[in-house]
Amino acid sequence: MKAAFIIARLTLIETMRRQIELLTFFLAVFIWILPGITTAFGLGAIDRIVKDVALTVIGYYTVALALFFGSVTVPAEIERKTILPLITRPLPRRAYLWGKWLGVMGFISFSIVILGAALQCSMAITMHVYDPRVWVAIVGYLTEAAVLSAVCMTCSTFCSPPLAGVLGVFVYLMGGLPDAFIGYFLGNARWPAFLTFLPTKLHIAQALKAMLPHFEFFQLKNSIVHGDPIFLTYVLSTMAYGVMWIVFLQLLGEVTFSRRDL
Amino acid sequence: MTVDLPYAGMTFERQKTNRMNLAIETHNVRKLYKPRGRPEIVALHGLDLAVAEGTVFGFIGPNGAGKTTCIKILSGLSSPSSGSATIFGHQAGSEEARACLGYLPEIANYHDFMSVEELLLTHARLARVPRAQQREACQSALEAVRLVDRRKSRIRELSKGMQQRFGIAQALVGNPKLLILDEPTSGLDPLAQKEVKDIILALRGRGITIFFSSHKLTEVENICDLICILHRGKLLQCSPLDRLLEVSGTVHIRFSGASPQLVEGATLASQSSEGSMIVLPSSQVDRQIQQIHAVGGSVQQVATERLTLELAFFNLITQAEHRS
Repeated sequence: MKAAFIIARLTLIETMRRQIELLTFFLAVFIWILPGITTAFGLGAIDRIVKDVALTVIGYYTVALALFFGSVTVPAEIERKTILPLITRPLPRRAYLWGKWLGVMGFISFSIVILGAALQCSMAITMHVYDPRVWVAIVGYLTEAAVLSAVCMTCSTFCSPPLAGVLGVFVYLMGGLPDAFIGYFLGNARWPAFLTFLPTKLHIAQALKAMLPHFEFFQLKNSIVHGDPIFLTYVLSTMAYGVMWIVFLQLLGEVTFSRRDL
Repeated sequence: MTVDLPYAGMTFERQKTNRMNLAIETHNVRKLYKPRGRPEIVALHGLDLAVAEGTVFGFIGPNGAGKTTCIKILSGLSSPSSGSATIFGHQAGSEEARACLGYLPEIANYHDFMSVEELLLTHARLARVPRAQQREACQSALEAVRLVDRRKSRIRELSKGMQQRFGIAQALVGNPKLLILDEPTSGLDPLAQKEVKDIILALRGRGITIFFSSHKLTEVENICDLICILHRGKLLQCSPLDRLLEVSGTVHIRFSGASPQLVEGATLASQSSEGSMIVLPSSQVDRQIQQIHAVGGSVQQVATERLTLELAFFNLITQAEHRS
């Protein structure tokens, strides 16, 4: 595991150098001024609107970071050939993959914590509101990003970065669709005649969804914005669910990556 | 120069007796590439190699011969389609095998935003150098490649020659028993080439087994003990340098006394009162000497005309091309 942390450190430094944190700081400024903008429009329930908009921005930004860095980090190192001196060291490829994932997650955590802090400070200064539950939403987003980046990283061990990104988007969308939506869509959709031989299309879709990570479990924003109760056991169980998926995906990635010629 | 090194061409049974001293051993290694929609490419056709510990092994061949494929298999970057490869008795690619080797890739890129010292320390940690010895290991690697004064420079600030020297330093930092250098002087100017060559010669003196692949044949000739020529994935020749350069050479016999009958292929190159000289193929030497003795002459000198590695390489490749 020590080797994984060495690779993680290297990855984190490398990722920081991409200057994506400039975008993080730009979003932090936007979140900082968000209460002012909302007030200027004379909208009521400002704190709820601010939390809703800011957490939505943070959520999508986290997903974008996870998709991008998850898909690109390993192939970029292979492309640049900086991987060669590293991987010929006595470290298992498993440790390398874990290191890359930890490095990416370190960067995403850094970015998301800055945005979370910006939201808290902004609400505290302009509205004199401090809602610690915002951090629960952030934890949910981080778990979601951790699973999504593991999905993309696993895909990137056997396909190109764009394809890994597309597969990541597919898994994210499919895994995030509520069951009711799938049932409604497949129950009411008009299917082409050549697909009528599939009488169980609903079951196929549900089975496909069942095999993918359920990203809707990590979405705690609505409960936080509307003040619904969130139980610690729920947060812990979703985190455990996320960890289980991450371990599974990393094992899958190890299998494909260990067979890959570099 | 030791001529009794195990080398390819020995029977496998005989190699078994020397296995404990083998740094590298490959047995019937094949590598196939299967590009989509195109016929498969056989990069290596059952390669058998045996490199003794302490040898400086020159691995040469034309472009596309399979050198880099073989090196990648040995360093664990690629796996063979069939056959086996071991490094100091450990399966190539295993952690134990990688712990024994230092590798300088053909196209070496590093995390160039880091300083020389910082990246070397990272490599020392990955090479499992004990914490207390890491700085010392870096210092010694930097001294070996004469980069101590640039330890604080970022990699990107180094010239290409210096980056190549850094590459050798990172390969050395774990104190490996085997150093695999894939075209270490490629793309360097003559001065940088000489610097790298001097470093390799100095390492040779330290008893490290060096697996050296290069297209610069004079360099290989100067540095290596054992030469292996690969052509289209097949081993064309693998023998000690001296033997390789003598193999297709011509022999000069200087003698005194009456002129003997010349055997087939022999020519009288010079004749004087002090002695005469016959030039002939090495296969006819014994017969010609018998002829000289038969007429009462005495042999003063038998000298083998040595080829240069470049010429030997060219001859072998041309012959192989004709055969195929």
